[in-house]
Amino acid sequence: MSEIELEGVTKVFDDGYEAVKDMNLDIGDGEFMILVGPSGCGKSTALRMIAGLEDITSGELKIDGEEVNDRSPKDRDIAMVFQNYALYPHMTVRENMGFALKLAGVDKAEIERKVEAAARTLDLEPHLDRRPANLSGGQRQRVAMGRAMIREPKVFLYDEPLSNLDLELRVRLRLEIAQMQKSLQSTAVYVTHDQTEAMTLADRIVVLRKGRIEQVGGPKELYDAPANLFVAGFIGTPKMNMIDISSGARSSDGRTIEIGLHRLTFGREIPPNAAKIGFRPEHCARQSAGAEKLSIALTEARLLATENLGDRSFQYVSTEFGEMAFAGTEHDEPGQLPGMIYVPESRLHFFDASGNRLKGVDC
Amino acid sequence: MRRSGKEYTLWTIAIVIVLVLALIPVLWLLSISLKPASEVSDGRIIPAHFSLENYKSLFEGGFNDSPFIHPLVNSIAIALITTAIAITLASFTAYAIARLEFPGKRLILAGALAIAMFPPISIVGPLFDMWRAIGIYDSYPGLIIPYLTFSLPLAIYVLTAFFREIPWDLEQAAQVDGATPFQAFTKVIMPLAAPGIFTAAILVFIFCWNDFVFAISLTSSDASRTVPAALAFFTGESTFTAPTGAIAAAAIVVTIPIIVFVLFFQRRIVSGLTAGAVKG
Repeated sequence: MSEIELEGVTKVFDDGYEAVKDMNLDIGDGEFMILVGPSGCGKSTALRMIAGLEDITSGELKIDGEEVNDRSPKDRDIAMVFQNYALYPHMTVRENMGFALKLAGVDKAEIERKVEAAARTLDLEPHLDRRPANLSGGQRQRVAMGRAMIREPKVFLYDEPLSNLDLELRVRLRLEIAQMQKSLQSTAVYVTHDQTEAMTLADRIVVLRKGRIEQVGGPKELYDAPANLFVAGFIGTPKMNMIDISSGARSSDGRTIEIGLHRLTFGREIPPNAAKIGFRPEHCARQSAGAEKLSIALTEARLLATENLGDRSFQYVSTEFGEMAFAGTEHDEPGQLPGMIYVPESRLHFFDASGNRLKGVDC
Repeated sequence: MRRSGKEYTLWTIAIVIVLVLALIPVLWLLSISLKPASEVSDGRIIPAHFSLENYKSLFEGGFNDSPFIHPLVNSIAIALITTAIAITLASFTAYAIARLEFPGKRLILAGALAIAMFPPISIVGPLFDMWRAIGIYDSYPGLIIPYLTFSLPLAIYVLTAFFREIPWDLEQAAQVDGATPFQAFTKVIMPLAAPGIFTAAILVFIFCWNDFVFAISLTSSDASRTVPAALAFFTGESTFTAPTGAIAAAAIVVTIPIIVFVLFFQRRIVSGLTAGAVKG
């Protein structure tokens, strides 16, 4: 049980590359924090600094209020699950899981008892005396989790633990991690580039870009109120639709914007400094329902592709406002393009010229 | 990769030719060693009469008077000591080269390579003078030091290739699991590098075992003379008999440990020599 605090943590590599820039983050006791972002955003570096596998160039890292910057990994009481499992190939599953306890000088019978217990939880009992090479990917990842779990560490660190697995296993192990985390109630930091993983597992999510934190918040907060264009585009599939209205001519009541020959009509006045509006594909309706909304007449729409997901489908459409995606239902005729798109006012996101969310217009 | 039947046949033929070429001299040696002195030059590959007289002559007289036992002990001791020191030093060095960034790393590698390429004969003369001056001429250290000089670079190169193959994550996992860097090295890295360590050890051992140049030049008595050098001092039963049979028998005897070694560790050596070649 413990808290992690990052205060102005920065990592500059020997070649001068600044991987993490002035990161400030408090991870609460028992919280499941997920670091997410595109590759090269510094999420793994941040995790490795928490683990002690990477030196901290400047700033302070505290675990339970104590500065641990210069402590070696073994003195931080953390456990880590690696992307490629990092199981010791020359040891059996039993030895792999008991290795940390053996190093710590724990009594043999005690190790055996804990290994058996962890194996039972993770469904690994029949495999205890096999070597990692003879296990499937999912089993290996379970062993890696068992190895972490058995130590009852202060903090669990996960470095993209599911990215080497196929989809079905990923979903199953995701559930297992969620259950494990719930029952252990321990603090965890989890790195992934998969936003579904982030959204489903996290208590809070940190979105990173180029070494900087773009937003920290719960999954719903990130989805409903992205702090800027980057987060808006990163969270949610398909991506949020964006229309640049900075060059448009506004009517005097502020409710219509004309961009060239095309017109956007809003249900009420829009913020004067809005430069971009965004709305998610799944919030686009083809029939008007209710009053306050954005209505867009599409005259130059051209279908690019249709993605059918069974219960719903997405149409990727080239429009006069750029490429967009719209959700459809099974009732829609395939290939039929929407003539009008309606978005409820509460589902609209406004961003200013520098890409930040305009506050005070959330409904 | 699957080979076609035709390719397989061609390879088999090629391998058989190489084997025959390599093994005929050994067979010849074996044949001579089993012949009585009077028949050594009869030109037959299968001896007319089998005799173990040559082998007996090697060991006659016990530890002090036999021309062979003392050098054999020297050979074994010097080769084993050199191998142990070389492998210990080389594993630390190779590990550092594979894992750490430090100034002078390239210089060490280049230096090691340069030394390995150096012709031994060119340093024999100076060593002879130096060793006599500092008093280690005709002693174990007198041979172990030059052997280390030439076998360390080899061992470092082989081991560096091995350590590079071991995923760094494993070591980090060990550190997170609570291992000190030394524990991570001995409990995780070393066991995984075992094939490489065996390969390097065998190569070093064979190098020491086979050396003639240093052994003949830097020794003067049975105190440190190794088998290859001792063979040159074999004498026949009388001034008029060549010691051909005894030399052949000694050559066969010194080949046996190498064969045993290689057969015993065959699988490890093969996986060792090819491990660096293909990224698994």
